[in-house]
Amino acid sequence: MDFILRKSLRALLTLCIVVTLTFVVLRTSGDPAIVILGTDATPEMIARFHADWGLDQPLPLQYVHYVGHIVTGDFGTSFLDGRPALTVVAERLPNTLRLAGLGFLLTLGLGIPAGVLAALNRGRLLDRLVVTGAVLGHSVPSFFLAILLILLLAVRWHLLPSGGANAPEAIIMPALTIAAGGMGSIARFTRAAMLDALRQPYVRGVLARGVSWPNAVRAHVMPNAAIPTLTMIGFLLGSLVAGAVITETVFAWPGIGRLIITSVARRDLAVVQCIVLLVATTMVLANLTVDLLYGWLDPRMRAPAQEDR
Amino acid sequence: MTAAPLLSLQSLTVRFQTPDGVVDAVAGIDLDIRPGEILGLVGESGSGKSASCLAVMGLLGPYASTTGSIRFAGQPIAGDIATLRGRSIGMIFQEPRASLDPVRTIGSQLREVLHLHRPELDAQAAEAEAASLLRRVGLPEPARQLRAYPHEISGGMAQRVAIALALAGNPRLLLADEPTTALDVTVQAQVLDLLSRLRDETGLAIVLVTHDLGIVAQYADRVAVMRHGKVVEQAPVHTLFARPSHDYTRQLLAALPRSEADRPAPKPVATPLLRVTGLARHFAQPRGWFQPAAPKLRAVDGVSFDIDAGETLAVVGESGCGKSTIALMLAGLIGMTAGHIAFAGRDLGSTSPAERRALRRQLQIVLQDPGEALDPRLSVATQVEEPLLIHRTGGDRAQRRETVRATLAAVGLDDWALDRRPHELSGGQRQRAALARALVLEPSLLVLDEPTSALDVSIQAQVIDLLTRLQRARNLAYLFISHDLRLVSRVADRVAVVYLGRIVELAPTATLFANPQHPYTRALLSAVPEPDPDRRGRTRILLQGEPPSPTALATGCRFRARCALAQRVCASDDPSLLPAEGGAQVACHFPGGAG
Amino acid sequence: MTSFPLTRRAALAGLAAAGWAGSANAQAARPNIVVAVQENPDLLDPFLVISNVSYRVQDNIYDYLINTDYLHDLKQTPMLATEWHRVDDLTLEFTLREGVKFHDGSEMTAEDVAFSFGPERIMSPQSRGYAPSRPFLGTIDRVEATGRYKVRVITKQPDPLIERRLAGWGAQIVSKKAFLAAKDWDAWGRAPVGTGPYKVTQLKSGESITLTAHDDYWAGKPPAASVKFLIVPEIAARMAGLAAGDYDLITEVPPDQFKSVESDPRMQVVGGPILNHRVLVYEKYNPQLADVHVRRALNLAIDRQLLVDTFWQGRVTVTRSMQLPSFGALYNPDRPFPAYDPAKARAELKLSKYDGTPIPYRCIGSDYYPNEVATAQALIAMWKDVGINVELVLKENFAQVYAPPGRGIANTSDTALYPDPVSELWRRYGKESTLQVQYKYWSDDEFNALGPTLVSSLDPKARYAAFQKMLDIYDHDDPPGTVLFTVGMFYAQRKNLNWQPYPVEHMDFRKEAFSAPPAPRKA
Repeated sequence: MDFILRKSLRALLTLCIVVTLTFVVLRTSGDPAIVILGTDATPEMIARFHADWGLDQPLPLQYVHYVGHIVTGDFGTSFLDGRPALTVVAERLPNTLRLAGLGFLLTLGLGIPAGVLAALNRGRLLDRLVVTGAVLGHSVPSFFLAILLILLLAVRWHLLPSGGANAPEAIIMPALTIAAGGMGSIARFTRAAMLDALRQPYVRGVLARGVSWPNAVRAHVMPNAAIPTLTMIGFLLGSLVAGAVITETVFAWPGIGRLIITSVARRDLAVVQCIVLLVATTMVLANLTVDLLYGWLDPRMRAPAQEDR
Repeated sequence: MTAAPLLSLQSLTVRFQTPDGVVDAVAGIDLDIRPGEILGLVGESGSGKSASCLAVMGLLGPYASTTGSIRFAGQPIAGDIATLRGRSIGMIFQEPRASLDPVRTIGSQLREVLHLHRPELDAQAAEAEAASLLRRVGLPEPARQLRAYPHEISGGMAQRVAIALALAGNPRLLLADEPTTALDVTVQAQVLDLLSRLRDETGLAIVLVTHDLGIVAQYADRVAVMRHGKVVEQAPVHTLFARPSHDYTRQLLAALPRSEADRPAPKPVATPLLRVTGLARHFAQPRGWFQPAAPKLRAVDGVSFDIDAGETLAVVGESGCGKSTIALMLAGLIGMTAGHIAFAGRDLGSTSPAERRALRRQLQIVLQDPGEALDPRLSVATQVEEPLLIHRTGGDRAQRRETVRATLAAVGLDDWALDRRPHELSGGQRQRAALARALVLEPSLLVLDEPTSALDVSIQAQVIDLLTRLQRARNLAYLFISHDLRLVSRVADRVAVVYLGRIVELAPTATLFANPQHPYTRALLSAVPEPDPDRRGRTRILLQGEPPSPTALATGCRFRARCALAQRVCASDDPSLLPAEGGAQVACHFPGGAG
Repeated sequence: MTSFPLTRRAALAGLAAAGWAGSANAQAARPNIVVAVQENPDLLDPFLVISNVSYRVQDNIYDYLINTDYLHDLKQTPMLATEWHRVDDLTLEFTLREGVKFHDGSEMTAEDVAFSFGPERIMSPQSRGYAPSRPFLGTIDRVEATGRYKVRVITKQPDPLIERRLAGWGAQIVSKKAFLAAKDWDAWGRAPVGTGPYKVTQLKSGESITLTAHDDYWAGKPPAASVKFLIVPEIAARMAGLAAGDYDLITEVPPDQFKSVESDPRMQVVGGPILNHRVLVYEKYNPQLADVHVRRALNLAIDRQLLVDTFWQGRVTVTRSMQLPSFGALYNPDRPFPAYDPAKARAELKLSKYDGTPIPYRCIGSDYYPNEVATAQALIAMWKDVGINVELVLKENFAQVYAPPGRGIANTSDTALYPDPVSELWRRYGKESTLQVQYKYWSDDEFNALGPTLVSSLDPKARYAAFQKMLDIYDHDDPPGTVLFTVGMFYAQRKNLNWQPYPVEHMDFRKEAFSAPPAPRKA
């Protein structure tokens, strides 16, 4: 309980810092009125815009109002089309959740078995294939991979639509793109964790007690290898969000990743803040989940370590 | 001698493919183990004793190949070893805790093995059987232990659990690979007694792999001595110790430090080189925000002693007693909670920083594992030179180089070693290099924290000889931290026995070994397996259980929970260190076992 | 003043009613056109978003009183008004087309026209349309309905451009009923009601805008069943989607992609220069640029044709200062092209007190204009060649570009909202321009004094003289910047779409845009 409380307080602090930084950076790097209305906008138009959105008040006061509203669950209104920022974000959220969710499943569903199989076949052809593939997946820029997929699957073979989110199969290419990097990382990391677990003396101990090799791997090696892999999965969520930005842009996927680009470019503060808070909260929750899972997977994490000295 | 061998090895070879080429770990051995027999398999590390056991179990891994014949109960085992594992042959290993899966409870691991070998047991029966197995290996509160994870139990308990796991399938042969090397001497005695008892009760045959001739002398029926992958001598235990036939066996026996101390008691001096008074170190325990403050871990809790120039004071005790913490405080590597350290009459706490630096130069430390103490990226010469640079002493470059060379020569390393990196050296050479680094500043006191425990017996003897020579040549004083009482008896002038952060007995070596006053000292001494099979019958005081945690200290005497002599006064009064017979000082209400 | 009893568009409408629309097959065959664009407007009211992304969508939703025939020298033809004439210097009377239906089925009447220019929309300073409408419609005093199909437009002062204004941005006619029914401007902007050939059926913010044929369109059924503006931000993805057949038409094709489009026989590049100049602006109050000789030297050092050939493959044009042939009577076909004369530039520099101090040149690092940074680097090299030290400073957005201090040279583009210098040179550099008022980049008394003649004189000769004098100031006497070349707007489409872009940012999916032969217009 104490553990969760401590983590939550730290998470809250993180969110406060994120909110403040976003506010300061967005507000001091270009007047949203000019960015949105254009350089043709007359002084009256700009004054009007400032008055409408409270931008004529001193920055600290704006900040206080802003934070005050957030605390009451009001994320403000989009400068661009006058809708509540939360509505704008909520409209896009399902798309990103679908994409990131499938990407995440692909990452884990393909990356982890690949890493496990590679470790169990260390030094053989399968291992080399996985390692090579993982390095490729990890190092090929997602933009390049995306265009390659489009050219092959959409332009050359007409198997999939080149972009958009209308057809159900349209998710395949962006999900693959978003998953590729993480898949590479997770495969390599799983492989390393498996090799490390395989080297541990308890594996020999388990075998000496008569447990068969497949059972030893399933019941002892894999649960132990899962512990370091879990940390990696926590990091992976962050790369999924970053990946969504590029992937959604290339595949014309109307999600949060693209929304944040346009919102930042146009200084649509309310929407940016809403997304930043959402992403930060997701990350914080994900890390909290990882920490809790960590404790569940690794009994050594539950109690304070007992020094053997 | 009439029973048919249970396990029979003929011309067994084990060959490893390593990056450096082919290594024959086992070079053709013939060995028989009969039912109900304890065979001691001794030799130094790399002699092939572990590899032979792993070959029997088929657990050598993908880079090894085995030839020769292995027969179990008359049947050759080659392909079907997997079916014998756990069921006919069990095995336990050196690191008991590491051989248990850290993320599964002990109960879960026991049930797994029971399910495998005794599928007829239902869940409830398996649970009961698991508890009864734990009882059989002498674990208290089996129901609670079943729910514990390996990290929650001590090393001794873990080895008992490992034995229970190995016995779950009712095997007829147990391969015990250095089963007590990682354990404290009192716990070692408990575990070895347990193995011996199991053999007596069930007729289990045991192969007891060890480097410790004392263990062999005390527990084995027959002994096979291995060297360089070969069995050089095989004999019943009495024969082997009485009439060793092979040179190597004789050499091993000669290298044994004898327990009889023969050093004269030193004469006290007016001003000791080092005077430690009331030294203490408490560690704060990690705790949650809303939890009450945890009790402090009192690793060292008021320790006082002197060391004279040229003298060796040994500090002995079991792991966790605080002896290494004392070493680290003396070396200035960690701070102290209370107490005074006076060096050459000067209190380190009240001297100027410059003077303290100069005094510190006189006091150097050598750590247990030279592999950890040396930087793997730097050459030996660089590392030995480093203290000279830090203390801005030793003259110019050429002079320093000469000093380094001379110091290395003093520890028996020639110029070859100068430009080597630590991984190119053997364990003994590494420890010599670490020693040279400590000696290069020409200290008057060396703190030696388990300096030989990572080394093989014969190498250990060489390093001890070197230390003795250096002491004589340079009038060095040693604070010698060790858990090995036999070793201590050979090197120390005086011995301090530490229990739970306190000195319970401090006496001249001869006095301590001949007439131990504190019950704990007596238990420690009696737990040491003596390398003399003829002394098997001696009465031993076996301690039960393990030292309590230094966080939860009871009132009164710290030792009373495990003490056979404890009376009411022991619970109320904490005994202080008082003079006793023979120049000893003892902290006990009933010194000498008067009861 | 002018009257077009029968126009080309009306004739086509008749034709459509007779032939096109009569054929069930033709109807069934009406395509659903997908246009992949870089960005969409979030709201679809002319005053809520004024940018090229809204130009290209909104002209399909709304009509004007007067049409601009972009394919025929921007001639003005009847649209929602069938006839108009001047009553006096201030008053213009329009006769409205009868039977025009809004998207909601109601009929457009004089009431809607008067409302479109009324206080709720643009006349009351409290209205959101007030401020943004000033540059376009600021000369209108009031608009009165004098009958169900009669409307009078009265200006505050004589306005020679009132017809152009009424055919240009901001003069779109909206449904009074629908506007008043909307909760607020933003709600209206998401679901506007006009009389244009397509109605808004779906607006997915940040994703797509779908327009569906308004089959009651007064000029006949629109040629496409629907037009979807789908956001595909990456040009590579737009190109791939076009090649894959997912899109019919893609926008914002940069010149370096022309070859790869045309290597596919099924695709073609269309488009060319639009009524927009890509220009540089100089901050007159920068210590170095305060010296007019330095600004003249900057102008003389630029090899504009080289920029056009390098970055636009020769597909845009260098113009005779800031004027376009479509300016008609105000256009001087003999005005010299801006000179490229490094020797003269060095001579000008000698006359100045320029000491080699670097002059900052702020650009948007992410290339707001095609090849913005590369063009800037080429310019810097040209300037260096004559001895002017210019330093590239990358910024993120225009607010940063225009923020003092440290301003010097900046990039922008000047659009002729209608073919007259008032909509370009005067709107952008005049006395009330943001450049003079808001950003205080430049000001010139003589230039400002010429403004009223250009804006309000009804005498074409006087306007011509004033305009040409202002161009002299722009080019030589006190340059606020310089024209580099015309802006090009290029599209790629599947060849059998036969869509024809106009020389403006607007994209039109009326019949007219499909009527011309699909030969690429020569730049």
